Amino acid sequence: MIIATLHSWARRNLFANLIDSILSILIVTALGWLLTVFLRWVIWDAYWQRIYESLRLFLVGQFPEDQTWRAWVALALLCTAVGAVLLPWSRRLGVAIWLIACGAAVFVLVPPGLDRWGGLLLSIMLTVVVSTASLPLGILFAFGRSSRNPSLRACCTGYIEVMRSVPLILVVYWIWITVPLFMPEVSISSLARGMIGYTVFNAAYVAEYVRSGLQAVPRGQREAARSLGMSNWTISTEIVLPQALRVVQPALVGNVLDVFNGATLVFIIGLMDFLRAGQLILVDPAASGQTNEVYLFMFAVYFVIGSAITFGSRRMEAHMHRSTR
Amino acid sequence: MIEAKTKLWRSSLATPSVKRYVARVRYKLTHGAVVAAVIGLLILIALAIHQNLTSRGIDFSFAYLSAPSRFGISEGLAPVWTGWAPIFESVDATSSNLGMLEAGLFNTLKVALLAITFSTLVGVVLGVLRLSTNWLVRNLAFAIGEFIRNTPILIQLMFWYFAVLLQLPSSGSATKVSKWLVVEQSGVFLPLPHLSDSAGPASGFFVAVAIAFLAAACLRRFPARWRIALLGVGLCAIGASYALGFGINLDWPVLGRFGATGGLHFTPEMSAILITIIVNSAGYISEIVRGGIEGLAKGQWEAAAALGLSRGDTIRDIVLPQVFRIIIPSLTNRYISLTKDTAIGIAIGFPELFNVSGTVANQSGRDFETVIVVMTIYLLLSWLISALANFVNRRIALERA
Amino acid sequence: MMVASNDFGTTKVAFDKVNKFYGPFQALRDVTLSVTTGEVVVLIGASGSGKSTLIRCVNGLETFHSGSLVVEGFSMPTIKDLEFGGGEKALRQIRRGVGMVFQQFNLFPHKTVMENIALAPMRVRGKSREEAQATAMRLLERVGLRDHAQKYPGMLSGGQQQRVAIARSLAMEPHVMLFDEPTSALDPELVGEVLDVMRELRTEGMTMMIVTHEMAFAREVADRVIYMDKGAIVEEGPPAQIFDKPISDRTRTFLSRVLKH
Repeated sequence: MIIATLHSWARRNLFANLIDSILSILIVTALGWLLTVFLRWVIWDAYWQRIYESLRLFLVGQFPEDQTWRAWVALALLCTAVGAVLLPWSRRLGVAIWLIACGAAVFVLVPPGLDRWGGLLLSIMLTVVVSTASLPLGILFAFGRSSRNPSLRACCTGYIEVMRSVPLILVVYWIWITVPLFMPEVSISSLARGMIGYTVFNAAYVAEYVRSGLQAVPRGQREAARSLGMSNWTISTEIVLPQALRVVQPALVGNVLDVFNGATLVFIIGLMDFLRAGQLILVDPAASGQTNEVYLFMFAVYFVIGSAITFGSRRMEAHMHRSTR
Repeated sequence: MIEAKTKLWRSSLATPSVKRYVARVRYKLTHGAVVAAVIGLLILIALAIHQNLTSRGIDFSFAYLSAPSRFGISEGLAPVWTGWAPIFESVDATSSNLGMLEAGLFNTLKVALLAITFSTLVGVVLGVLRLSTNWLVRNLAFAIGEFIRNTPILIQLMFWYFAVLLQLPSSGSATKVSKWLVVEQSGVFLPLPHLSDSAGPASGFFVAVAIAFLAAACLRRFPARWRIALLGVGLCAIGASYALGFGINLDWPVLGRFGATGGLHFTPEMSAILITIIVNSAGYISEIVRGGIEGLAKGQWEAAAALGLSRGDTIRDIVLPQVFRIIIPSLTNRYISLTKDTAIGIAIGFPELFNVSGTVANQSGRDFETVIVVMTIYLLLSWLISALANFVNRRIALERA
Repeated sequence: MMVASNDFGTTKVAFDKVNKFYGPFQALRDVTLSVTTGEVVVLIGASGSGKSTLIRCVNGLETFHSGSLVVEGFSMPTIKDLEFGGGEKALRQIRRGVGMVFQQFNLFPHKTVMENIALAPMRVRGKSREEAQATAMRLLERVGLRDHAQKYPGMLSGGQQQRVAIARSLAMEPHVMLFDEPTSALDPELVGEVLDVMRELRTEGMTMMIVTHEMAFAREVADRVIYMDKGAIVEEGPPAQIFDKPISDRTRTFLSRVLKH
C-alpha cells in the first residue's frame, strides 16, 4: 500500500516525462555526492574544537565572565516575552508582558556596561530593542503620511522616502558621528547610538508596512465608526489600527528578520556582533585553517534563527487567511 | 411652516462665512506650526552641531572637495571633462576628494548595473524553477532561495570573499577553469571584447546605422513588412562595416608566472561583491517572480492549455510577459535595495561610494559634510531608479491601452 | 400605528435645493425634502439614481456642493466648510443623533458583538462600561441575539450580523435611523428577520429613512415613498399613490420593471 502510494507519487513528481526523469536522476546523483563529501568533512575532517573553545566569544563577546548569569536571566526573560506574544491570550496582556520582559532584560544586562555586550547576545538584543522601538514610531509616521494635514503629510513622506533611499550602514554611521556633535557634553555609548540610528532607519520601513495595512482596512469600517459619532482619535486607535496591524502582522515579523540580518552591519561603528566575533576568531593565526568550520557554524546559526522567524511569519499569514474567510 | 422652522434654526447658528473664516485661519495656523516646528528642530540641531564644530576650530564648508585627496584606491575611474565628452581616468593621491567620490560612485554603479542585469536573469530562472513539475527541482530552487533570504547578506559577502575567493590558489598556479574563465587569488579573468585596430570612423558610422535599424526592426508598432525591410538594411550596414574593417576581437586572459594578465579582470573584492549581490538579489527576485506567476489569473493558464500550448511555451509566451507587468514595482524596490546593498563593500575593502567616502572623511576630517554629500548621491540614485521604473511602467501601460 | 403627515410634529431632516457632483457627474439635483418626527420615508429607484447618496448626506458621510441641509436643528457643513477642517464638531454632533445601517453591515471584525455595540456609547457618550454593556444586552435581547454577545461577527450569519448592526446604531439612542439597502447583501431566507426588527422600530415611532429594493416591505411600512431618478426626486407620496396610481411615466416604467419578478 505505502509502496504503491510512493510509487505513484514518484511517477507524478519525479518521472512525469523524459526530461523530468533525467533531471531527477542527475540531481539525486549530484546531491548524493555533495552530501557524502560534506558529511565526511563535517564528521571526520572538520576541526570543531576551535568553535567549541570560542563559543563564549560567539555567544556573549567580551561580556564579563562573572556576570554570565545576567545573560542567562536575559535569555529567560526574552523567552517569556516571545511566549507571551505567541500564546493566544488577550493581545493587550501579551504586548504588556513583552514590553516588561524586554525592558527587564535590558535592565539586567546594563550594569556591566553597554560596551561589553557582544556576540549573539548583542545581535539579539539589538534586534529586540530596534524592532520594539520602531513599531510605535512607524505607526506614528504611517498615520502622519496618511493624514489629511498636508504639511504633516509632507514631512512624514519626506522622512520615510529619505530613509528608504539610503543604505542602513550610512544612517547608522551618520547618527553615530552626529549624536556626539549634537550633544558633546553627554557621552553615549556606541551601542546606544547604533540602536538610535537603526531605529530611525527601520521606523521608515515599519511605517510603510503599517500604511499598507491602513489602506487595506475597508472604507465601510471608517464610515460605520463615523456614523456612530466617534472622533478621529477613537476611529484610528480602536477601529482602524487594530485591523491594520492584524493585516501586516506577518510583514512586521518578516521585518524582525530584516532587522536581525541587518544587525550585522553595526561592525561599522566598532561593535562586535555574532558575525564580527567569527571574523575576530579567524584573524587569530592559530584559527586560520578553520575558515570553513567557522563559516559553516555561523551560517547554521543565522539560518536556524532566520528560518524560525520566517516560519512564524508564514504561519501567521496562513492563520490570517483562514480566519478572515 | 417647515420653511419657517428651518430658517429659525439656522439663524441660531453662527453665520457660515464667519465659521468658514475661523476654520481657514486655524487650518493655516496648524500648518504653519507643523512646518515651523520641523524647520525649527532641524535648525536647532544644525546650530548645535555648528557650534560644536566651531568650538573645535572646524567650519562647515564643502571647499575640501576640490583639495587633493592624498590617498589612493585600488580601482575606480573618475570622469575628467576635456571638451564635450568625459574621459574616464583612474584616480590617485593627487586627485581631488570629489574625484575620489566620483570614482567610488563609478564602482558602485558598475556593481549595481551588472548585478541588476544578472540577478534578474538568475532570479527569473530560479523563480520559474520554483514552479517546475519536478519535485526535486521545485524544492531545490525553494531551498536555495530560502537559504539566501534567511541569512544576512554580510555573511554571504564574507563567505564569498574570505572563504572562497581568498582561498583560491595563489597567483602563478592559477586554476584555469577553461579558456574562457580564469579564477585565482588575484581575481576573476574573462575574455574582453574590444574593437579591432582596423576599425575606422567610417565603419563606426555603419555600425551605428546598423544598430539604429535593427533596434527599429524590433519595435512592434511598425507593420511586419517594414520590420523585415529595416532588418535587411541593418544587416547590409553590418556587412558594410565589416568590409570596412570593423571587427570585434577577444582579448584572452594569459597565464603567466606572476598570475594571469589581460582580458577582463575583476579584482577579488569586485568579484566577491558582485557574486554576493547577484546571488542574494536573485533569491529575492525568484520569490517576486514566483509570486507574480502564482498571482496571475488561473484562467490564463487554462486558456493556454486549451489552446494546446505546452507548459514551457505557456510560461515563456503567455505568463512571463504578463508577470513582468505585475512585478515591476517589486522589482524596482529590489533594484533600489540592491544598489544600497553595495555599501557593504566597505567590509571587504571594495572601494565603492560609502567606503571611499569614509576614507575621504577620515583624511579630511570632514565627516559631517561628506555624509551629506554621500546621502544626497544615494537619494538621487534611488530616485533615478524609481523614475526609470515609472517610465517603463507608463510605456507598458500605454502599449496595453 | 402612527399616522405621519407633513402638518404636525417637528422637522427632523430638511433638504433645501441640495446639489452634489462627482466631477462632471451630478449625483443630486436640487433635492428638497423634509422628514418629520416618527415618519418613515422609503426611497426607491434604480441603482445610481442617488438615493444612497441622499441618505448618506444626512449623517455627513457625503458632502454636498450647494443648498442646505438641516438635521435636528444643526446645519450640515458643506464642502466649503469642511475644506479647511471646519465643521467637524457640528458633524459629530449630528452623527450622535443619527444612526445608520449599511448594506455590508460594517461590523468591526476584531471586536465581539458586545464590544461592537458598547464601544460607541462608552467612547462618544461617555457612559460607564457597566451601563453600556447593560444597554447592549437589552438591545441584543430585542433583536433576538442574546446568546451571541461574546461571539465575533465573522461567526454569525448575514441576517444576524445585520441585526447586530441595527442594535449597534440603536445603542447611541438616535432620533433618526438611516437604512442603506439593509437587506441587499443577505440571502433571501435571512431577509425576513431583519425586516421584522425594522417593523418593530416603526411601531415604536422611530424616524426612519430607508433605501430598499423590497417593494412589498416599502408598501407596508412607508408613510411616504420617494422615487428618485438621475439624482432628482421624481415623485413622492403615500405608498398607495406611488405603487397603484403613479403620476410620472418614469415611476411607472421603473415599477413595472421591478414588480414583474
